[in-house]
Amino acid sequence: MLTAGVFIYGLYDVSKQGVQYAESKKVIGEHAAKEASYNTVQGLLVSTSDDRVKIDSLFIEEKETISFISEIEKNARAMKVMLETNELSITPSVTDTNGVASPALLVVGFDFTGSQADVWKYITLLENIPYHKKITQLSLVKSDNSEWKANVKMQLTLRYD
Amino acid sequence: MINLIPPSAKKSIIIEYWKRVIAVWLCLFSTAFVILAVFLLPTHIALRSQIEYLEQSVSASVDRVSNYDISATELVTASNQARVLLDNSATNTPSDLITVLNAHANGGVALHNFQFTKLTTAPTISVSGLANTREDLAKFRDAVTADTRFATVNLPISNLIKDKDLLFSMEITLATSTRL
Repeated sequence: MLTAGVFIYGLYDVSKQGVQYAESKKVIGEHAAKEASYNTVQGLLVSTSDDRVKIDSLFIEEKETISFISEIEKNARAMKVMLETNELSITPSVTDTNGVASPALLVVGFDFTGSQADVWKYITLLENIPYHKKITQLSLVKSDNSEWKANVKMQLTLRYD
Repeated sequence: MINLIPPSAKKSIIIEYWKRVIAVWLCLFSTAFVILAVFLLPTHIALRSQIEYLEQSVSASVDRVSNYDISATELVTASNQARVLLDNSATNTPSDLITVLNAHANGGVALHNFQFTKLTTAPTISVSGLANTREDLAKFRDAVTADTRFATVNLPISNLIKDKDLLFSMEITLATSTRL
């Protein structure tokens, strides 16, 4: 009876090991496929590293907001434009129904006044900020004393996390 | 032949007989089980060593695959950012369009006010200024209408009441190909 018991246990154990073996082989197969993809991805990472750095540099980071505003204000003084920041907020990232996430946006608004040439140059400077952005509102009005008043509102795309 | 064995002894002999039959069969089964177990033993050992090897491979593979996830995330982020750059590539800037409008004004019209609105949906420019004559304003309107960067030009007729020094305001909708 004891021998029969040991034998049946042995059969059960071997059968269990067979299942475990098959599962491990399956996992190894999946991981081998993933490893092949990993090698491809590693190749891509190396070959695109410069491009990715360039792309990254076109997006502002939230922590750079203060230095960005300071830089804008410093440039305004340098270009003899009276500038006031009237809006500063962040629109959070939104994921649509297809699961595609739109980036978070830094919304900034400026009022500035100066001579036509200075205001003009300053608008050109804002248009050429080296970050990805969209000017969502712009008004330019000539006042009675020949000064020009401008209002610009823009959305800067924040860097993806 | 006369069976002289008493019935009680006969009964105990039969019981003894069956005991021995069962004992012999059990011995045979045991021997068979032992032989089969001996045959199973190499399979058991081979499977055990294979499983141990595979388990080591799995753990090493899991480590490498976790790196894959990190690398893939970096590429997905770069791809999303590149998509954003391509989707929103502007063809014109507001100052380009102001320059164009000033060029169309051509001296006879002075533009004093530019309002760019709805820039994310249907970009519109409201322009106001002073035209020297009705003809100058009409020429300005025609020049803007003919420009393919602009889709529609709305100059209310009431702006043309006077024939000189006309204060006017005009609403211009950008063409879909003109992206800001």
